[in-house]
Amino acid sequence: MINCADFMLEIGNYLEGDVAAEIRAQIESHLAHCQTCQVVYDSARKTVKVLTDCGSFELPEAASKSIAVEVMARIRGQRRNL
Amino acid sequence: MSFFQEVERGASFLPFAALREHFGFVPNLFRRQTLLPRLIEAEAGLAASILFQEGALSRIQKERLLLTVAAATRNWDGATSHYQMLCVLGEPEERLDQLLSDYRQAGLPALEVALLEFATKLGTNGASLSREDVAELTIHRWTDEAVLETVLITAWASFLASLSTGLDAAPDFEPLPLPAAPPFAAQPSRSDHPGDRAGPYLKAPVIQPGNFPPFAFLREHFGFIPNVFRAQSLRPDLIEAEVEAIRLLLLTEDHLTRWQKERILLVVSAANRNTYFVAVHSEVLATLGIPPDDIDKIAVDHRRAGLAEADAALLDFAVKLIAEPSEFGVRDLAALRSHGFSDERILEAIAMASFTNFLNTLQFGLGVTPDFAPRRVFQPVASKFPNLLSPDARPTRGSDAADPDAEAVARVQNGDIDAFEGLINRHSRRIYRTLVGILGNPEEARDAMQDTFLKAFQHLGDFQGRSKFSTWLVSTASNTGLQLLRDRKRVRSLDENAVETDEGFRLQQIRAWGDDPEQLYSKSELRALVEDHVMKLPAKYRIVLVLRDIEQLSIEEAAAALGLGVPALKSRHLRGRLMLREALTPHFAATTKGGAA
Repeated sequence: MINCADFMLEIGNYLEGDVAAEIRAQIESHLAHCQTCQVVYDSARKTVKVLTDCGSFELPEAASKSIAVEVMARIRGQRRNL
Repeated sequence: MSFFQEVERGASFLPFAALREHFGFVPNLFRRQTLLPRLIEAEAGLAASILFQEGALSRIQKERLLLTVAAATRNWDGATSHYQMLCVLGEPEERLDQLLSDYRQAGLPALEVALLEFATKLGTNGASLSREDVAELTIHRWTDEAVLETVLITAWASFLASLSTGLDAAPDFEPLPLPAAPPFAAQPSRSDHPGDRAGPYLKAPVIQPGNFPPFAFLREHFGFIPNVFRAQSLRPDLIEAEVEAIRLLLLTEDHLTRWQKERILLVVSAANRNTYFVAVHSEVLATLGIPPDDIDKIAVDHRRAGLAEADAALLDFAVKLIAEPSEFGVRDLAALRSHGFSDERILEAIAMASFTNFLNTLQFGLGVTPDFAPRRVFQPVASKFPNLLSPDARPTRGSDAADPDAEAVARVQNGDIDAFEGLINRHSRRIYRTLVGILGNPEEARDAMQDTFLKAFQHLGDFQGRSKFSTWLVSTASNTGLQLLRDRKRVRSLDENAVETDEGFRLQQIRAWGDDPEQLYSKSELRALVEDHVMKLPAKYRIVLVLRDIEQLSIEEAAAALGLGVPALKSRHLRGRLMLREALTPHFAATTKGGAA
């Protein structure tokens, strides 16, 4: 059986869904009776979901366009000096 | 077993007399061109000036260069000839064998090795050569005269290699048992800044056209004196031989027309990624009344340029001879014959393509800039002798699937600069996210985006499609962002040793989250909250979090982008996620706002 320390070593792979079936079974049996690990795992999983879903760090459309224009102007300028 | 028969030219044929005098015999390579003696005349003139004329380099140094370049370009017939020639000149046999397998182990002084290194690079991937490679020779105290001769010898080796492939002349000597693949490798160019390819690299005293008939001839026929010739004024005899070759090979129209030969020059130069010759001959052709757009189409893709089938087949033939010499064979000649090309015209096409190879190599070695603003700037790509060059970035998982950017990337690599704008637009959002994640500041991220795209454009020639373009671009962005961070000393070290010795992170928040945390806040509140807390994470965790969870790169891709090992990446990723969990828990715990919602 695995304990809390073992679980914390595996939580990264478990969040990625990247653990062998045998270990998965052991993790799930640990989570079933350990409230603390259950909370940590559940909140970590939700953290990842919030992070991936929230659309953070979006570049405004206008800024995107102006950067493309600027970069192309510099590239064409360089080409002329080549 | 040659493609072309020999025609008896008699003892009075002067080029043969000259070749016999210098070699002791007339090599088969020249005998196979007797259908068109003017080709031999042009080549013998070049050989006299490049090879036989004593200058800064001795004949034995020149033959060593020829042997090394022939081996590197897999021209075994050529290597055999130069090997035999060096034997005659007294080079010890052990050294010859070493030159074939690894010139660095041939017991030659460092300065001689540097010369061979330079020629190997120029001969196998001339487009990648830069001013730094020439500087390397200067460090070894080679004079400009010696560098010029080395460039010419390498260009001559390119000429001979293509002729040898095209003519399939029987070898003059019993072929040597040559190594299957040369173990030595030309180093890729250290510099990829385009400015480093803006020459001329060598000094060139001004010659007045009035006093120098070859310049007067060029001005009369082209309307100007191309820079590539001006750059060789240290050796007027070389210019004279080249201009005579242009007269005999390009301007004499008894079989192929001038326009057919100019098209060969264009497509071969484009295949060699030689911006200079495409630009200069586009201009020459424009003065002959050919619309620039038509010329451009031929240089980019002659198959879609609306040419007659036979003319397109002629260009297929020339490009294959130069770009895929190992695939070239008797079937390619048969294809031209089936389009009604005579042996004379096929022979001329081979000579024209080979001569273009010579001119392209010459220009790469001299670094001369175009006389006219190029409509297309070709970027160097991987050598067509790829086993000689070191591989590019590690392959990634993403390389299995087709890359949706492949076509646009290829267009930019072929000089269609405008296609790069589409790539910017498609990827600017993800590059911004990567950079803001690394730099932690939107303003700096926008500046760094420009640098990233400029850098990507300049280095696009190095991109070989072994990973997806998007992964490569994110990797470029990471490098740019990380460099800025290092410059500002915000992170002490991102190396792997720093990973596990961490600043005592411990789980503190053990409060359960509500069932549906995303319902607690509006979309914009949520975004602001996440951004705020991600920004507060230490940079090394923030970066991994952004690449993995926001950019959705695979573990391998993110590891490659950051130059980290997979274990280090996974460890930082987990740490970043758990730190963010700590920071967000007060906002999402079921007993705080969640309870009221």
